[in-house]
Amino acid sequence: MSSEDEKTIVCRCEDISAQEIIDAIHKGYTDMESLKRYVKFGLGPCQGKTCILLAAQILARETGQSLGQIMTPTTRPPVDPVPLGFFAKGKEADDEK
Amino acid sequence: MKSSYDCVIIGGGVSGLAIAYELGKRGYRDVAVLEEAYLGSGSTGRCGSGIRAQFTSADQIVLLREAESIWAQLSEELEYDIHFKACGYLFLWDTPELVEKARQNVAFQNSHGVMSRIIDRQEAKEICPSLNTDSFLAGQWYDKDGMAFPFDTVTGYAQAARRLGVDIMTSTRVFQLETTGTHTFTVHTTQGNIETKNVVNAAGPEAKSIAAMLGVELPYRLDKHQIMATEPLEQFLGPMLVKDALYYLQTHRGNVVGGTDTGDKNATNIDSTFDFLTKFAREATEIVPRLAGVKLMRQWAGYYVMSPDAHPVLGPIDEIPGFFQASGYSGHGFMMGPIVGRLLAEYIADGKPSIDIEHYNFRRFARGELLTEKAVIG
Repeated sequence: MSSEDEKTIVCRCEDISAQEIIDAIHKGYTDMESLKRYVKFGLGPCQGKTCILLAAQILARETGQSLGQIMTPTTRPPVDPVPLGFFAKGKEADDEK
Repeated sequence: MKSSYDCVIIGGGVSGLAIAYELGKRGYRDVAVLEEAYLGSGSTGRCGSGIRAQFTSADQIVLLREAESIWAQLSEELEYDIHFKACGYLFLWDTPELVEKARQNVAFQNSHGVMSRIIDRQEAKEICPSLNTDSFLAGQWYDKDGMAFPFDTVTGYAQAARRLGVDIMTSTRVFQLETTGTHTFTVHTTQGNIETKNVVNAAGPEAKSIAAMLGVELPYRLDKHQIMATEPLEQFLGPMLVKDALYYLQTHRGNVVGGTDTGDKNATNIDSTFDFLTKFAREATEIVPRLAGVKLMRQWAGYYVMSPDAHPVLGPIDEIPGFFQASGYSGHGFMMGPIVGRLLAEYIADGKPSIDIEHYNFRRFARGELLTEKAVIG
């Protein structure tokens, strides 16, 4: 983290920098749920697999908490994005049984 | 947080925050909003982000018509981009009976200033080029309906309310309410007690238990409604599409967001299910086949707080002066937020709202004066 600067990208899906996250924390978004929804990291196709932990580390550092004190947001299914056509076919296949 | 306020609002969703902001705007600034988790964590942050005036009851058509005029300028007013877009709502009807009913609804909506209209398949295709025109007979269209981004709306209202001097407390749960006389309440919270002259119950799915603390029995049922978001795409969809219980739109961020009904009435959890995905995918790809190749990214769920007549409970409780209700939206709380905020603030600050909302009062249940709304989607 020592080489982090304003250009360091934390969320690659949504193109969000470390500086944007730090600015939001200083505006008062000091819990992960609010921070995520205000800045909007962790909402891209990777489902936050990279950025949530990086953002949590920044939040811990900026607020003087340990990583363990920071609650990470709920993980939503599916784990990886799946085409809607797959689910539509799944239903038809069930109906034919 | 102070130990006394003129008004305490329970619930930090769009309703509570809009009421707080509108009170502040009227110079009524000794106000606290109490939120048990984080702002927008209840039904607001879980909603489908649609805004429509195409209802079937005069009360709701008028309310949402006025709401849409607030929505259209809300980003400017709050000095924060809430991403309102008048994308329009396009209902798809697939039987002659439904088309005929829609014609009657359109005439009724038109008579209340909501200029919806019936359109043929060709015009529907022009509005939404991705539509499969074999999947419906006619459309019902209103171009002033639209969408806004729920969390940005919450942020916009919260920041504007704070600028006006309103206190907003998160992670603050109310566990007991007492009243010792007219306009005299003690609110017991996990952060300490507050004395106040007015209490507004805008607690969404928790509104029933909040009201019960003062012996008021709100006749609500919680229904689980599931929803999903796809990966972000270039803008292609256009309007909000609705067919039966199915609805979806494309947000300003490019994700297709929407849901359908899975019949989970009287729900006790908001877990996501696989059955929802198969039903949604089948229905969604029937009207827009190209969605089959689009990846579903995330699913979640929330509660519709259903009142017996699918209209919210708004305004004071006659027997408890100073106890106001703003809940029971039956799936329409986000879209109603701005107008409810304005009308409840007028009620509390001036004693009289600029639109008559007496039909929405809690007393309608005791008097058997229920309203009727058929257009509940999702």
